[in-house]
Amino acid sequence: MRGTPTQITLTVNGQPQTWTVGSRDMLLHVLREHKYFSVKQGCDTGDCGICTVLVDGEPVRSCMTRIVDVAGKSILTTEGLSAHGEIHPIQEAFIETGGAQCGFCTPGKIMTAKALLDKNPNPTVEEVREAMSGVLCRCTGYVRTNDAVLRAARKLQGEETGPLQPLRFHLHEGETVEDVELPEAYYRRNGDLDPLPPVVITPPDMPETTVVGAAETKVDARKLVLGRPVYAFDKYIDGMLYGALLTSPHAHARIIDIDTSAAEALPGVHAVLTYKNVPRVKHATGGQSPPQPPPYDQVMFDNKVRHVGDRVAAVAAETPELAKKALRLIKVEYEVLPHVIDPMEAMQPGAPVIHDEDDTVGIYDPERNIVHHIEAEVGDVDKAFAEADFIYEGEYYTPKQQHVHLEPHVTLTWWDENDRLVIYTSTQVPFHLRRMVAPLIGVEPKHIRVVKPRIGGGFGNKQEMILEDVCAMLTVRTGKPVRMEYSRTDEFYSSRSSHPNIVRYKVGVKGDKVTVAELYLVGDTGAYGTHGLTVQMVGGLKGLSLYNPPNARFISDVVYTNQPPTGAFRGYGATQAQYGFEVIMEEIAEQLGLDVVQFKGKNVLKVGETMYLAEKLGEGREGYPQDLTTSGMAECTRIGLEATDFYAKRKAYAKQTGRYRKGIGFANTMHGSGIAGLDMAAATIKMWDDGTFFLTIGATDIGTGSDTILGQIAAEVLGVPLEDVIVYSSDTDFTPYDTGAYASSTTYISGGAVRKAALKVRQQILDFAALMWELDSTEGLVLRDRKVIAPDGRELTLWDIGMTSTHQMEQRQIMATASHMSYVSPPPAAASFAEVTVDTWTGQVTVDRFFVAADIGRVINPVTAAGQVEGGVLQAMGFVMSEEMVFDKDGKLVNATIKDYHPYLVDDAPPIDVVFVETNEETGPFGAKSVAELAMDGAAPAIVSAVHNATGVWVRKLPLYPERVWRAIRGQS
Amino acid sequence: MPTQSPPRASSLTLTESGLLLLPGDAPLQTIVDADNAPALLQQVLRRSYSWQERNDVSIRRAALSPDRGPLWAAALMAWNASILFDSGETASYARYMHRDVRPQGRSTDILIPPEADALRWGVADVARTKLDAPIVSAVAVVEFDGDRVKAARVALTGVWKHTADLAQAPTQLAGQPLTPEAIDAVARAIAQEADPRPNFLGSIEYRRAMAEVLSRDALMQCLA
Repeated sequence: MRGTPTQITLTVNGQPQTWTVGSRDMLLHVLREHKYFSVKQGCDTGDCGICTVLVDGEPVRSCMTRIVDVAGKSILTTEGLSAHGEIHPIQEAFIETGGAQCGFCTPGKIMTAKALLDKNPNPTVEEVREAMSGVLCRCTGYVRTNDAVLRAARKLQGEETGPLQPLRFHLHEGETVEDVELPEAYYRRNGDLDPLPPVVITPPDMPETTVVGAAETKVDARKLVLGRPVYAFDKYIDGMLYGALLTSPHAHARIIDIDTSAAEALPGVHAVLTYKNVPRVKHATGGQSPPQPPPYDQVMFDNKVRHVGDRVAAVAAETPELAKKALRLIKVEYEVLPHVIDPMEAMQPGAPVIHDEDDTVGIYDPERNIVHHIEAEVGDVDKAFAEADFIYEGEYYTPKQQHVHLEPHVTLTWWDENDRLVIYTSTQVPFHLRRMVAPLIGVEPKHIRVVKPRIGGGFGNKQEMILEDVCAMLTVRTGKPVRMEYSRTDEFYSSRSSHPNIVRYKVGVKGDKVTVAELYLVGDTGAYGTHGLTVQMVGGLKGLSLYNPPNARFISDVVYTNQPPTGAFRGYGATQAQYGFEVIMEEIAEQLGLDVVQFKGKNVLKVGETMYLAEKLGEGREGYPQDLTTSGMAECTRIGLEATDFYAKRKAYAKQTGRYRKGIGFANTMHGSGIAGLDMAAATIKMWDDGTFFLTIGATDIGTGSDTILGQIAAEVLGVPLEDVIVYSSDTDFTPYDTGAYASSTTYISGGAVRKAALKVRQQILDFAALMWELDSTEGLVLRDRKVIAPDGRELTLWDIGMTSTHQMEQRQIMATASHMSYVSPPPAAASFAEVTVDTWTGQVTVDRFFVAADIGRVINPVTAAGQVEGGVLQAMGFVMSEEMVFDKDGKLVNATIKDYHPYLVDDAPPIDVVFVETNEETGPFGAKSVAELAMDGAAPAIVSAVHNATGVWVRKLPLYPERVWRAIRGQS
Repeated sequence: MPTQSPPRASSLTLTESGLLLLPGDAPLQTIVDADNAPALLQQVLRRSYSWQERNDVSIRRAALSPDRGPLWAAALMAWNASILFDSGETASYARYMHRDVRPQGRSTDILIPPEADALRWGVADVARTKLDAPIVSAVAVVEFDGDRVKAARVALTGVWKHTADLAQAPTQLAGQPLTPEAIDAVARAIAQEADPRPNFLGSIEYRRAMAEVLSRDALMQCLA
């Protein structure tokens, strides 16, 4: 309670309430204290809007509204929309459209929509965009949330709607994508902003499926739209302590001494941790398969800090306020050291040495702050350059991007009744965490259970041990449950970000064929090397494989600086490296007078070709041979060229001379599907006696919808609707192993495991049916529509089989477990098209439209897959246009708020249209590849290409701040 | 269940002095909802604040702490707003924010001239995205007396020590017809007058250049 205790009365969701509150308490916190958990906290500074509730019908930010100011007023939260058990049409619309991905912002969106539709029952799309712009979403790209509001308006006026359906084109024998005629709306000739359904184009040879491929609504959608307390953020335990971290105010300093006596003496403080009282166990925090890639350059607490926001101490106290007070009582004596922020300076002789400790092994050149020096080469690069007709060089820069997942890092730890340590946390890697935390806290892995509930976004930042080790140690020390959470400021300073890269390409061309390329990447890993090796190796592989010259050289220096550490970020090096290669390819085409689409199309990796560098560049180790087995790249390009009227616009725009100039750009991109030879997943399916199924998977649904698509895969094999498969995931005690949600692996690897397990169960069902019918074999038996059908027409329902197998005959449970891994990682591919307007007098670039045609193999669920693309594109658009963590000379962030950092808001976003061109990847479940990271890769090169078309200049440094564009137009660097 | 909120007062109060009263404690949305509020203020409020912010931030708070909505402060300055104090004093909003005057008492409400045929206005800004806070922005308001300018004010953000401030150069337009040539001259003078502070979004040179471009844009809209 903050301020003077005051009694107020108000109405919440129609119920009168009398509460004693603090005069400075905010509505958000009081509502959550009273268990209105639909009200989420994303920033606590009024920047994200996800805490929106209605006060007397008006949407307000509950984090910025004092509780005393709403005395006597009527509050409506998401819980109140469905108070009588009936789901509200707005909530229903969010389910139907896939408007709730991770769901953490969804209650705020729904409440804003409620206020809008109460006032304006029939809003235009423009009115929806304006009204909804106060609520940030990081998952959806806003296409489906806007769609949900427009659909809700129709529902409230009595229109019957069902789940959003894609527009499907099934090609017949002899037909190609050129025979597809998209409806006029997809051409967006009039600048319309309406959300359009995704398009799925299916080739003739694609086997038919029933549940796979269907636009099933997400299995977790209902609880998300109802605002149920399903996140770690919503978990509170009676008697728990609150953990808090003291972090460094200096970019680089040695801790001479630390005095915690005053903090420890404070009543209500149960533990204080510093480097003095925790074991010094060297480790890496990245959630990756063992042996974890080096260096092991971190300890839980150190006597040296290497970036502003680095850990100094932690406390556990009975209230959050007490924990903060205890932190203030800790006296730290620092010896401030010179620091270095720029990676190029960090490599110079005489630069401050960031890791001068003697117990970190595996740093390539500590004196020059070079963590890793990577070299890989195929062919004869020097000879090929010598023989090339033309050689082109280009340097590109990509920014340090923060994930801004709306649920912050939150961890709770406690000892359960069996003396096992439970870590309940918002993570992408529960199984890695279990193994990684154990040695740091002195508890054997077998005594640790990690549970991931729903998670409010991750994008790579939760593929990391961020709070779990400290929180667990506090529980070990105190014996009590402990909760820790990051603030939004902590997220910027003390979690992870993408790797900013300097990207240098040298490309040799013979005729119109790229024969040789060299890529030098400088990757700034910040203060610690987590993911530094692997991100750059992926950058090298994906960057150089897209056009796959037979002679290729990759060199990378991964460099320490006194910035907050980087880590995994959706795209994982490929986004940075492909941006450079795509742009230099267009620069080359322009200089050679070639059609850029044809030039790229001629050189792009094709089916049957070997990715030359794949064996040399795995993730942190050597890789495996990779041949491209499927690719819809050419078809995707064709569709995009047509839908955007690319050539006509390109030609027309190149002739503009006025202030405002339009441009259109194009990019090819490819990604991967899991990490070859490394990622592994398992799944267990059991059939209950009622003939329905329980699927347990280690796979981690971080809001992507993976629980849903894995359920669809199981349902397809088992001949049942999705509703007959209950999915439970990500609990190290109760679900099988899975490496986690990263590397675009879930559909391909975890889906493979589910399919295998389902096939085993299917065989058991058929075997049992044969037994019941006293048949010699299962030949001719068909499993579909919840029953087994014999060739003679007899039928057994799954209910019959379940009841009989469990209770009457043989009495065994039909169930199976299967594991899956792959030595190949088939690349999904996309053609991206961006249309922009450039104000040449100010340099401001506005993205008017984005179109993606993607080959992700079989589309398991077109709505969730489209959501991945739309959200990824918009996150990437932030990377291109606005998002960059910027540091001052002291190593402090100058834009550590959502407002100053500025991810895209609803009305910032252009319409994003998605077309899937299916291929049948035989190594994937039902032909699927992957989608999540592919979506991140196309925006940068496509937008930069469009700006070039508009202005004639190349802007090689991202983001495209107006001043950078303005200077480029004026020929200034 | 809560009922829908009653409609807010649809009109701002016209004071005896012929000014519109913006009640300090009322939320910003009051202005957006009012049928007699100047369209300029409505437009910049929509541009600067989310719907939620307009509901939970008071007019006074937004005016006195304009860091979250500098364009709104610029619009108030250009529209010649004044602040009313509980001592009964009033002060020019621009002068008060520039620390030129320190009236007694606590600020209560804001007074603005009503929309008039003789008033024309324009707004221009540059930002990373449509809804991002402007790097530089300009709001121009021109009062006409027949064909000639009676008074012209251009307030800018992102080019001063303060969040927003009025440029002096537009005063030279008084008594003249508003022409593209006159606007060019004033825009160039504003660029010279500007005293920008650089940050990662804009150097001094860029901000000064934008002061000229955007002032010209805003004033040109007053020609229409």
